[in-house]
Amino acid sequence: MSPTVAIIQLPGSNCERETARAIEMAGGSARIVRWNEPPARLVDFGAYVIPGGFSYQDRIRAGAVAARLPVLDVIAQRAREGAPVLGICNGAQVLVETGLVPGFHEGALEVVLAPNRMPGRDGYYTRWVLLGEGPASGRCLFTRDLNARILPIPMAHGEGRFWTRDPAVAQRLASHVALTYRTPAGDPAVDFPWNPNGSLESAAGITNEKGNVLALMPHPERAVLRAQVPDSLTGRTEGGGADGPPESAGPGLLLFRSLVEVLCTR
Amino acid sequence: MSTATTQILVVLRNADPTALTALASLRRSLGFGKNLLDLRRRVLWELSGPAEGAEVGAILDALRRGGQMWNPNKERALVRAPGEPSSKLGSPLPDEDGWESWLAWDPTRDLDRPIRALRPWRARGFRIRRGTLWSLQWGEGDPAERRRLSERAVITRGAREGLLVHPHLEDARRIGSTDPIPWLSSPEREG
Repeated sequence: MSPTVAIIQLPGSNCERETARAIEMAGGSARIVRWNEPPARLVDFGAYVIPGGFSYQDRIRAGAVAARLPVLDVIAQRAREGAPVLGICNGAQVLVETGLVPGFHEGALEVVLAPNRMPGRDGYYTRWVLLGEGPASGRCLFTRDLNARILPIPMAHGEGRFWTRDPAVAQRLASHVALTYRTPAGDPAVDFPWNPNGSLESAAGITNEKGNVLALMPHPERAVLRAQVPDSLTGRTEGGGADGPPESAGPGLLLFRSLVEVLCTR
Repeated sequence: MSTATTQILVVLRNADPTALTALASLRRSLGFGKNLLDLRRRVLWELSGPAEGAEVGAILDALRRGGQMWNPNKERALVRAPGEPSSKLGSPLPDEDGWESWLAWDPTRDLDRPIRALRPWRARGFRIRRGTLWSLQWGEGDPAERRRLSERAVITRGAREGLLVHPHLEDARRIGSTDPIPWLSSPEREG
């Protein structure tokens, strides 16, 4: 039995149950932990996932209030010790607001998840996107089994554009991109809609130097079964988990399997 | 034709949950405690373009009908424009003692296209900008100290340093005791 994964339920999280189920489908065990449990109870978990949702109603900026809670101090410390930490959508926004990613300078906020930049429209947007490797895929423990596959995964957010104003950070950021938005031809997507928010470096997910923390905007927990993937995307993604019978594993399960595999070997 | 600038400050009719959450987070998580007495938030829209006074009125009517900039069921809009009667509402800056106000805005965000009511005027060079006016009231400290505390609370530099404005996303500046119109579209910022 692998160590249990803590799914952190913040006020306004709404994806904790399907995230726990995804980890269980991948062979792991998960427990939903509320944000206000005593921090000392959190240290024994093997890994941490901050799920999607709208923590604190996205007040001020998405993830800004949650990132300053005591529970995030514990997670930051465990991340420094090497524990795997995954933030999905709102969880990614929280991780960026803690400075854990990209983490060039400890404690500094070097990037922001800015409002989507979309031609002729503003605000929340949702669609299926295609994800492929980034320069950091090999060292990120969630994506190291990707092996050039393209994964169809849904995205759903209003503030998902990885962005920085610091040219030096922008230059270094490419080396921390673990997942990129792709076009149907398999190339890194620069333009809308396949890059749905205008992210720098086509980044859908950014990791830290060690590769144990991943801030990922799309939702892999919503694509853990082949039946969840639209038929229009099958055939374009050979080996990505979008083919096969409806009850077979979907493309999103790959990330959770990688996490469980890491926990089992520790 | 002269350039006309109009400010619209949008204020919730009831208590502002965002301001209350920001106040609680600054007090508890960032250590400002009870010395931070109060916090207010105003959304500021600023329209500027080549228009005569009467045309400004027509634009405001279109915006009121459009309903995209404020919801009259839950928000009040204070319009400050040449010739607008509601300019009598005066300054949106708190005039009691101990307040510090900061204005934040994203200079790269193109808001012209999503505001449908403005389409007839866009082709003629009208621009619209959106910002947030944060006002913080401090209990103790001289003006220099209050200014220092406000900057620490407003400008986000780390997970435990600042909250209200992310410098990779927004520009921010302290608003002094005077509040000339325009704030966001002043000539020196047009560059």
